[in-house]
Amino acid sequence: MTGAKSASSKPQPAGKAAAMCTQAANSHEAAGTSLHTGNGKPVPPGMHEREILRLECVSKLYGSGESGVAAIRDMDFTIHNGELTSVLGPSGSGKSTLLHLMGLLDKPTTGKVYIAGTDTTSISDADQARLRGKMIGFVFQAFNLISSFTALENVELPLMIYDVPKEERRKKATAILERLQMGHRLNHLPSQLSGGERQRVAIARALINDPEIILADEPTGNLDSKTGEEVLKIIEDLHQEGRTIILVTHDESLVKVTEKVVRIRDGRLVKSEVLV
Amino acid sequence: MNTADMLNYSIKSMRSRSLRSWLTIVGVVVGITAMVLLVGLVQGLKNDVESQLKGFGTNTIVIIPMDVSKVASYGSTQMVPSSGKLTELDYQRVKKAGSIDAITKILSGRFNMQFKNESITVSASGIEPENYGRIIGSSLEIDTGRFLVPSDHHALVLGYSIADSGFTKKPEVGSDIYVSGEKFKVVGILKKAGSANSLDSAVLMPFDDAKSLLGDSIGPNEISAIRILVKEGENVNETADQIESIMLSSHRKNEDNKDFSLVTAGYISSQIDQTTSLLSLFLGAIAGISLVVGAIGISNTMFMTVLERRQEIGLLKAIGMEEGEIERLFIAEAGVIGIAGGTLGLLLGALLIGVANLLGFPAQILPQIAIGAVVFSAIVGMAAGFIPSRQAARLDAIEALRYE
Ligand SMILES: Nc1ncnc2c1ncn2[C@@H]1O[C@H](COP(=O)(O)OP(=O)(O)OP(=O)(O)O)[C@@H](O)[C@H]1O
Ligand SMILES: [Mg+2]
Repeated sequence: MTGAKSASSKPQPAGKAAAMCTQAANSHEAAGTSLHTGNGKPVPPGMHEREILRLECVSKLYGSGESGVAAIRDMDFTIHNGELTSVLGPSGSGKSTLLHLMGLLDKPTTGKVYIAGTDTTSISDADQARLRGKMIGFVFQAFNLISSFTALENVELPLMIYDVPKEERRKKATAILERLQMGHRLNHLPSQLSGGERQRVAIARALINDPEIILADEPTGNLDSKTGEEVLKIIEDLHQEGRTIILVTHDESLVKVTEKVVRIRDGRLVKSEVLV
Repeated sequence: MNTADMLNYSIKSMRSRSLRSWLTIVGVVVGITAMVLLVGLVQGLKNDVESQLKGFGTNTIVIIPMDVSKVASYGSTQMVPSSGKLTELDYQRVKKAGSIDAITKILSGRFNMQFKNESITVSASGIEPENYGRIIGSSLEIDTGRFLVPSDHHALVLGYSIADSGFTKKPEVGSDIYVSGEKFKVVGILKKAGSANSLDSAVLMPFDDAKSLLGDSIGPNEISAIRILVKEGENVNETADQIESIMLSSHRKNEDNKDFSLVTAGYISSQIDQTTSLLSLFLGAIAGISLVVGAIGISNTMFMTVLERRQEIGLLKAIGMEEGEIERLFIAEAGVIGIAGGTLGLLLGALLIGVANLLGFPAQILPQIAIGAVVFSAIVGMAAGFIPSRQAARLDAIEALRYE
């Protein structure tokens, strides 16, 4: 990854971030509201009421002391059911770190991550894994398909973990792949697929468990602009269906499809706007 | 994830790295093949010995004029075992011991045997027909003709291999054979007794005939051996002790300078057990070492696999797989390597055992060894995969996903 080469990310002593946290925590309400009034436009009434994910005063420090890096500092925001949010920031600003924290792949140094009202920082690793499997679908820049599995098997994998009978999972995976125009590539290996096709498979895999939240980290990053557009279109469609999606990117042009944007720099929330 | 899916997953992963997987499997095959083959050879040897012992008879005691315990304990060359002579007198004295069912004196020697125009040298024994027949019992089976009777004079009974392949023209019942120039008549031929049974190469004649053939070359009352059948239900060892003390006083000897031995089935089998268990230990050690090498190969491969599949492991974590399950997944993969190696090793071992049998080495493969080999190799595989699998499970998901 390219995080470290960012010009703007000066390592900050870990202590500072921690010290500012209480302040941020106090202004939680204000930060929460500002999200909805960022550019003066109100969120359409009745559309996104249920809180699905909330970061409360979250900091993530790497290392300690002088050499410590605060990848995320005092992050406070709320995502509601059905929102399509983009997290925008330059390289090294902490976008991936934020996504990992939201997806329970990483633990915050301080602060709390709530998913559907559950304080995930207070539950066991196994429970976190289960919550992650059931509630969250990931889409990565590098697709992360298993090379020895066919498209269909890759999509089935999350259901395999939960012992869903073969017939059922095969049916479900086929249906999702067909929906993503991949019906003719079911038994191809990832190495036999184009980048765009691979990402479709990865999206299908993220969808198979019918997750509450889809976290996508630069999903178009490895694709040319045309295929990128196609993938983006899929994301838009999923949003239209009412799915909650968080799209992490450094590409300003992706913001156009989202209804909310969280801008970060040096691990700090700079600005969040509602674009609808 | 259920076991079937795990195994399926493992096999797919192994296929995608097939050369390395096969090489690792071959490492296990070597160890298991060695184990199966060596255990098979030792087992075959044991079976062979056991069948010979059966021919010897579990209730049988043989007295020979040589202290074999010295041979066994001092090795071959330096100590010449103290040997004495058995006599008619010993025979008469031992005869009086209790618990004896039957007893025969035996007089053996090497003789020139001539049939038609062909002559060979064989060792033949003079026996007391009735007693000898009773002692040898059921393993003495007549193929054609009859066994010796006390009234026989210049009569021969031939073992199967002597009759079958001793001469180019096969002697039959009624054939004349010249033994040391004296004319004998073949009265019976024995059935094939077993692969290495001494009865097959036996030439038996009445005791008095042997004595007159040997003439002055032996002492006036000398005999070669005494063979005793202990009564059914009596303790063979106790009887042997009793006979031993009779013999010691008859020869005026003690334990340390005795010049004879009592050979029993128990004694022979304990001697042979000593040899075969030493052999098993030695061969087992070789097989064990090659298995350890195979196991290290599995560990090595699994460590490499875990390193290479970091991204995959990160993904598995991202889609909700728990650490324990990831660990099990990799242990399953190591187990599959083990089972594959074990199964192929077993097949190759069985094949080599077949070849060994063709070459005349008695080797055998027992079903419990076959099952054991596969189960054992699965366990070895899983044990070898334990630490790498743990490493996989503990991998930091972020680091694993970041890895490119
Ligand atoms: N394991 C780590 N140890 C130390 N520092 C780290 C570690 N992981 C990330 N960082 C630092 O945290 C900061 C944020 O990294 P992150 O990967 O979240 O950035 P990003 O916004 O996703 O960048 P990019 O757009 O290049 O992917 C960077 O300065 C990076 O160097
Ligand atoms: Mg990133």
